[in-house]
Order: sequence, then structure tokens, then C-alpha cells
Amino acid sequence: MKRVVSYCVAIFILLSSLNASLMVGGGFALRYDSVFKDAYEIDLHAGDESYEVGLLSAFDKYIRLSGRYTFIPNRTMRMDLFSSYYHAFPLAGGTGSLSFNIGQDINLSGFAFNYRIGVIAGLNYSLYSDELHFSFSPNILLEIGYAIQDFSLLLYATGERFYETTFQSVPIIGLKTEIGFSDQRICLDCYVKLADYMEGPTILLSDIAMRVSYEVEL
Amino acid sequence: MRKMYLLLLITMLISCDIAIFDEKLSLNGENPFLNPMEITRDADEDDTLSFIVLTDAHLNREYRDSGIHRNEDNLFYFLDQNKDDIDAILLLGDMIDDGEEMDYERMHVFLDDLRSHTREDIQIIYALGNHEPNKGSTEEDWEKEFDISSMEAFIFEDTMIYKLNSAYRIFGSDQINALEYAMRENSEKYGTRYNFVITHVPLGAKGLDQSLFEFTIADADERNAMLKTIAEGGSTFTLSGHHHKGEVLNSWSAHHKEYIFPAFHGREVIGDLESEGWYHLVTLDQGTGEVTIKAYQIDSDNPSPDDPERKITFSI
Repeated sequence: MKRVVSYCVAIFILLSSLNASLMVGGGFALRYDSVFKDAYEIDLHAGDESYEVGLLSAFDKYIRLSGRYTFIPNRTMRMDLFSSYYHAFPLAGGTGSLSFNIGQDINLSGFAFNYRIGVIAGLNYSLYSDELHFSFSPNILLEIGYAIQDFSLLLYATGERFYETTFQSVPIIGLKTEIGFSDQRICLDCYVKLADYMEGPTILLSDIAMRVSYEVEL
Repeated sequence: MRKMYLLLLITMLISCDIAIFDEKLSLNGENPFLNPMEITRDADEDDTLSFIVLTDAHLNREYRDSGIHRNEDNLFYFLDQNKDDIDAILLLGDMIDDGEEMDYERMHVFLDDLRSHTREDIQIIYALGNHEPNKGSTEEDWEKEFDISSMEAFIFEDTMIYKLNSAYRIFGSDQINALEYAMRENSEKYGTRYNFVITHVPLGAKGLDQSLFEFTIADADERNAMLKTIAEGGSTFTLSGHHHKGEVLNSWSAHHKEYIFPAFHGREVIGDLESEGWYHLVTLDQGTGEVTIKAYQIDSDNPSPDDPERKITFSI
């Protein structure tokens, strides 16, 4: 764990030396989910509009490393390549995933509509199993809300957890807001994950989380 | 227009009944897998346990879907001819299509038919599928209607049978922890050597058939938690359904195998994605740990235990 953190810090320092407008940030999250019950996460991330690397840790429960590269061909188009590795210690298993998505970030006088459509492939493994579990599926992310210069409030929904790793096939719905001032930004993100197969009127939630993060431009 | 969309969204959200997972899957400190119910048979029987296994009958679906095909007569003929050799019947869930009153009535008739063609006191283990708590019915309604629980344990000579609740495509930490504790305790207390785990939704699936991906446990953490629990619990055969096409053997480890059984009802659909309609005779040789699955197609007349359409054998 210490080695992983050291590597990440080294990567951050290297990136900051290469990029004049690097944003670095950290966050804290509370989760209540069907496997771990209470989980407390801290995360560190660095990047800008084109790339981001991240480390997330829920201490003795799980850890996740991630990297994203975004190609911006024009003002609204976006193409993302995202890779992540997740391991859960008490479960002795995890997931490696790779996704490619294409979409747009559209803003019409404050009304924001962002979407990504793509594919995600992942390999789940368990140290208690001889078999790997390969999954490949389409993926979609929709964000809709309000965004002006330094403020955004977006409601989002995704068929997979777009930038996470546990690779499930159930919807995640969230609300996030970002407030920026000078070279700093505060983000609040709340999401719920739906358990599946609710044919009746009851929506069953298998995961609830709230994340606060702070970013500063170096 | 934007205000109207926002208003519509808020209306939809506040009109939904939202529950958190532990409202459905909390055990409130109790462990349903301890103090298992004992299944008995004649003392002079050999070491081999024999089960009839059915899944996804979706009784009454034919009233809503004309493409459904079901043939119960051949199953009943098979039971009549072999009743003395069948020790118990395992129903892996989705035996009814909706949780409406007519579906419960139909299921009671089916259960009576199963008993009349085997033995009145035969043990029938009925697992909760995602269709049982459906269309206004609840899991509690189902439990009360059939006087059973969604999570139970049975002991049958050298074998423990654990019936799990996977109706919501998750198990929940309470159920996983309870199973882990019970597998350890029951094995020590009763000296059992084998486990059957019954779950409607399969743990997972291998290979490139991504239709299976959508019909297995949704969360990889839940799957890994269950694989660890079962691996530590000893030699285990997991029986699951839900997928309908099924016919998948997951060799999770040398001592843990899972078979995804195909549906009891047939349905013709383009792409060979549905079942042709099957029932199965599953045997466990408690002396060697060998499991044999014999599959019988519902439209095969005069079925014989020695002449299945398909046969799979493996060890746990």
C-alpha cells in the first residue's frame, strides 16, 4: 500500500512538472453498500481536461487505480479511454477494466447535456476460483443539468459505473455539483446504485454514496 | 420546456417507493442457516442422493405469452415410474410468472401434482426467484402463502442444502456472513461433507456469451464474497437457474461447481436464446463426491432414467 501511494505521488510530481495547468485533488466519500456495509473512501487524483490518474482507497476494504485519457477533437466532442484496476482485500478478488466512449459535452445558455456511449470490457477474478469472469458490454452515461462558468449541477445516470470498476450491470443514478473559484474547485457527488429486478413499484438500492472532493490548479 | 422536464423528473422520483437493500435482506441478528431441517429416507438406501430439479416453470405465463410451451405430463410419467428412487425435489425459483392470486393457486396445484406422482411427504425445496415477488406481491406474501422462508438450510445425511435469496440479484452482507458462519458450524456439528447451494440467480458465467452476464449476480464484489464463502465451506455444488437457456457448467474450483439449469418451459425464439423445456435428475454419490446431472426434454415420451437426452458428471 505504501509503495502504491509513493508511486502515485511520484506520478503526480512528474505530471505537474510536465503540465503547466495540472489540477490535483483529493476527496472523501461515505458509502453504504450491500457487501461492505459502511465504507469510507479517500481518493487522490490529478489531471486536466485531457487526462487524469487516480488512486482511491477504502483502507482495508478495497483499492482502485485508474487512468483516463480524453481526446477533444472539437469544442463539444469527447472521446475517452479509461482503464482501471480494483481489488477488494477481504474478498480476495477484483476487476480490471478498459472502456472506450465517445460523446459530447453540450451547453446551451446554461442548459448542460453531456453523453457518452461506448463499450466496456472487464475481467473479474477471485483468488478462490480457478475461473476468470470476462464481461463485455455496451455502456452509456447521460448527464443533464445546469452549468455556467464556475458552477454546475448535473443529474446523471449510467448503465455501468462509468469511471469505477466493480463492473456491474445495473443502473447508477447520481447528482453532482461543482463550484469553482479562481484556481480551485469543490465537488459534491451523491449517487445510488439500483439492485436489479424490481418488477413492482419498489426501487431497491444496493449502494448509496456521497463524495466530497477538492481540487486545486498547480 | 426545461421546467416541464424537471418537474416530470421530480414527480417520477417522488412517486417511487424506494427501499435500501437491508430492508429486504437484513437478518436482524438471526441466522436462518443454523438448525437445519432434517430430510430422512429409509435406512437401507445407498449412499447416493437423488433429486428432481426444476427451474423457471413460469406457470401461467402462457396466458400472457402465447409462445410458451410446457409439457408436465412427461415429467409426471417420469415421477410415477421412479418415485421410489427420488429423495427430494428442488425448485430453483421463477416457478410462477407473477405473484398474483391465480399464480399462487396454480402453484399449489402443481405442488399437489408433484406429491401425488411421488410421495405425499416428499421434501420439496422451493427457492425464491425474481418473479415470485412480482407485480404487487412481495417476498413476505410468498413466504406466507407456501409457509416457507426465502433462506433455509436442510441436512440430508452427509449433505447440507442451503437455499439462498437472490431474487434481487444481490445477496447482501447479512446473508453472505450468515452462510459463511453456518457452513463452518454445521460442518463441525453434523459432520457433513458436501453442500448444495441453491440460488435462483447464478453466481457468474464464463466465456463470451454475454447474455449470461446480464443474468448472473450483478456485482462482482457480491460474487467474489460468495465464492470465498463457498470455497471455505467445503465441497459444494451450486444449482442455479434464471437464464432459461442455461446448460452452463462453471468449474469455480476443484471442489466447487455450479450448473445453470435450463428452464422447465420451452419457448421458441430467434437465435436459440431460450430453453426447449427440460427437467433434471441430479444424483450425488456421498461416497465419492461424484455429481451426475441427467437432462430430460419435456416433449420426450416415456422418459427413462437410463436414457437422458444429456448427461454430465463431475466431482466436488
